[in-house]
Amino acid sequence: MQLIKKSNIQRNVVAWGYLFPNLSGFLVFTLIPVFLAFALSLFRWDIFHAPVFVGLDNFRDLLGFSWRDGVLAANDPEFWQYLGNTLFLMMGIPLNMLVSLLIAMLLNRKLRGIGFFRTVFYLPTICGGVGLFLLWGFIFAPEIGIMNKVLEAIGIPGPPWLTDYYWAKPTFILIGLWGAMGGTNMLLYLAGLQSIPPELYEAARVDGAGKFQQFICITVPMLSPTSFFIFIMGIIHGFQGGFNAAFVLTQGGPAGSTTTLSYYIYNHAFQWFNMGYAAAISLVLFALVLVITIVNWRFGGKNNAV
Amino acid sequence: MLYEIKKSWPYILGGFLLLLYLSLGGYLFMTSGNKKAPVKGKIELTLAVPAGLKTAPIYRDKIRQFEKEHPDIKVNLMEISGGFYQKVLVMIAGGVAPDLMWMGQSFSEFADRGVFMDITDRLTASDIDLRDYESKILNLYKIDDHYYSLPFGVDVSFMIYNRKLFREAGLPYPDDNWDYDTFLKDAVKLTRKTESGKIITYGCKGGLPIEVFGASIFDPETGKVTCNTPEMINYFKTNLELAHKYKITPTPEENAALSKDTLENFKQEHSAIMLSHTMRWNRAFDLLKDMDWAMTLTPKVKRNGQWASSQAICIYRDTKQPDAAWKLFKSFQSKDFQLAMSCRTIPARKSIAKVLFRETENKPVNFKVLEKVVNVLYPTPRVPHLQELMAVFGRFSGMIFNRQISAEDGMAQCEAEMNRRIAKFKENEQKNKK
Repeated sequence: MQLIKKSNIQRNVVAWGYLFPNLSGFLVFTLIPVFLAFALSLFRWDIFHAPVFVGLDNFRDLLGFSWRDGVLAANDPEFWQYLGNTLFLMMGIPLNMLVSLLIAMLLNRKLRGIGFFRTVFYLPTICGGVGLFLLWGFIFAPEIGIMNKVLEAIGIPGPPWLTDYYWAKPTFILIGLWGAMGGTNMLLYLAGLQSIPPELYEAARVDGAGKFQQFICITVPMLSPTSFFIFIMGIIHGFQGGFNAAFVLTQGGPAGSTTTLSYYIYNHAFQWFNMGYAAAISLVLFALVLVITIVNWRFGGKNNAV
Repeated sequence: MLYEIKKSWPYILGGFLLLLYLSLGGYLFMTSGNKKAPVKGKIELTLAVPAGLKTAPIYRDKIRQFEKEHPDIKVNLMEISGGFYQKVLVMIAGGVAPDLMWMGQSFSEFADRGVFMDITDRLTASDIDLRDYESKILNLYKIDDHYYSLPFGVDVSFMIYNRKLFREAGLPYPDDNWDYDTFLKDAVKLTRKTESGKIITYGCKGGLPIEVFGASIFDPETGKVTCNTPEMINYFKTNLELAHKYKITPTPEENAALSKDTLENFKQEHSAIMLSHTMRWNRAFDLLKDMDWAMTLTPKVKRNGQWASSQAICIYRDTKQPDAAWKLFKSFQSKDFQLAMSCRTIPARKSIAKVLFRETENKPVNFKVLEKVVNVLYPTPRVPHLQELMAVFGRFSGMIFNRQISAEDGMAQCEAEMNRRIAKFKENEQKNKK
C-alpha cells in the first residue's frame, strides 16, 4: 500500500515538473489576461487614469445601431467594415487547403531528394514574418516591383497591388497563400496521405478507377478529418490574422481596406488608448470564433475530429 | 543498481526541474520591482528617446556634457527603437515611466491625459526667453495657458527640384513665390513619357499639401473640425486632377506606399519636383550630394503655407526628481544641442535657427528658403484624441483619392463622423468626472 502511495507521489512530482513551465506560462500569459480582458471590457480605461466602470457601454458602442438624421446607422461603422475585411481575407482558406493538398500529394511520392523539397516547401513557415512582408512589399511595389516588371514584360499592365482599394485584399490573400500552402497544412495533409491504406488504391485500380476517381472517392473522404481540422484552425487564425501584413505593408489602408479586427484592436488599444473598447472587440472576436467553431463541430463533422 | 538508476532518472529529472522552476519563480518574484542599484550619492534620471543613427550620438554627447556640469546627477539614456509611443505608454502603465521623454506628433495624446509636468511657473522664473521661439510652435505645448514643454526643433515641409531637368526642359528655376499655374505648366513640361505612354518622370511626386489651399482639418484657434470647407474640397479635387487628368503626379495613395523610396526615386529622375521634410533632409544631403538640386517653397494655390510639427523633451508628471529633471530639460534648449539636432529639425529658437541658415556650406542651393518657410507654418493643432481623429480623416481621404466617394460627400461624412467622436469624447469626460 505504502509502495503504491510512494509511486503515486513520485509520478505526480514528475508530471508537475514537466507540466510546470508550460502551465505557468499559460496561466500568466494566457488564462489570467483572458479573464482580465473580460473584466476590462466593462471599463473605460486610457491607461493614465483609473478605470471607470461603464457596464455594457463598450458593447453598445461597438455592436449597437442608432437613428442618426433619420437613418438607422451603426454606432461603430468601422467595426463592421473591418469585420467584412476579415471575412474577405478568410476566402483564402479553401484555396490554401487545396494548394496544400496538391503539394502534399506531390511530396508524397517516393522520389530521390524528396526530403529536400519537403524542407523547401516548409521554409516559409520558419521564416520571420516581418522580413517576408517587407520582401512582398518590394515585390508588389507599383513602379519598381518585380511582379509588375514581369507582367509588363508579357504586355500586361500591372495593377497597384497594395495601394488600390480593390486590389489590396486579394493581394493579401495571395501573400497568405504563399505562406500557408507549404507549411503546417501541407505537413498535416502529408501525414494524412501516408495513413491511407494502400490496399484501398489497389482495390480501386483493380475495379478500373482512374487517378481522378481515386482522388475523389478515396483520398478526399479519407482526408476529411484532416481537412476539417485544417479548416477549423484556418477559421480561427483567419479571425485573428491579418495584423502583421497590414502593419508592415499598408498600415491598414488604403481607406481601411486591409484593416482587420486584430489591427483595429491594436489601434484602439495602443494608438488611441481605448483599452476597454479594445477588450470589448477582442471579446466579440472570441465569441465569433467560438460560435463558428461550435457550428462547424456540430454540423460540419463532429465525427471527423482528428 | 544501474537498472534502478535508469528506471528512476525521469523522477530525479522531474523533481530537479520542479525545484529549479520554483526557485527561479521565487527569485523573480522577490526581485521584481527592484530597479537597478542606484549610483551612490547621485540623483538618477531616465531619459527616453527614439533610437536613431544620427541623433543617438547627439543625445549621448549632450548627456555626457550635462553630467560633467552636474556631477551629482546621473542620466540613464533609454534609446527606444520602433514603436516609441507604445513602449513609453506601457512603461507609464507599468509604473516605470522615464523621468523625461521625447515627444513629437503624439504630444497631445499624452498631455491631455495629464502625463506631463506643468512647467509654467518654472519657465516664468527661469532665464528662458519665450520670445525667441516661433509662437505657432510654442503654442503646441500650451494647454489652457499652461506650458508642458518647449520644443527644441521644428519639422517643416518644403519642395525640392532637379535643376538639370528644368534646364533640359528649357524652364526657368522656380521662384520662391511661384503659384499654382506656373507649377502646373512646369510640371506638365517636366513629365516625360515613353512612346507607349508610360510615365518615366513625373513632373511632381507627392501632390500639393493641404496648407497651400488655405484648408485645415482643425481650426487652429478653437480646435473645431473644419474639414468640410470649399478649400478642403479644392485640395482633393486639384490633387485628383493632377494625378488623373494631367497625370503629372501619382495618386497620393500610391505616394504613401512609395514614401520610403521617394528620395531614391528623385535621384533616379522618376520625379522632377518633390515634397520633402526636414526629418529626411539629412539623408537627402547625403544621397543627393552629386546631384544638381535645390529647395523652394511649395507653390501658392490660395496662400503660401507649409506643414509643420515639432520635437520636444517633456518631464513626467510624477518624476521623483523634478528639479534635476528641469535642469536636464533646460539643457536641451542650448545652442549646441539645437544646432546639433539640425540634422533632423530646424532649431526651435529663432536666434539659433538664424545661425543655421547662415551656414550654407555643404547645403543645397537656396537652403536659405527655410527662413521664409518658418514664416508660413501651419502646424496641425494639438487637439485631444488627435491620432484617432486623424485616422478618421485618413480613412475618408483614402476613399476620396481612390475615387470611391466624391470629395464633397467624403468630407461631409468625415466631418460628421469626427464631430460625433468629439461629442462622445466629451460625454465620456463628463461621465468620468461624475
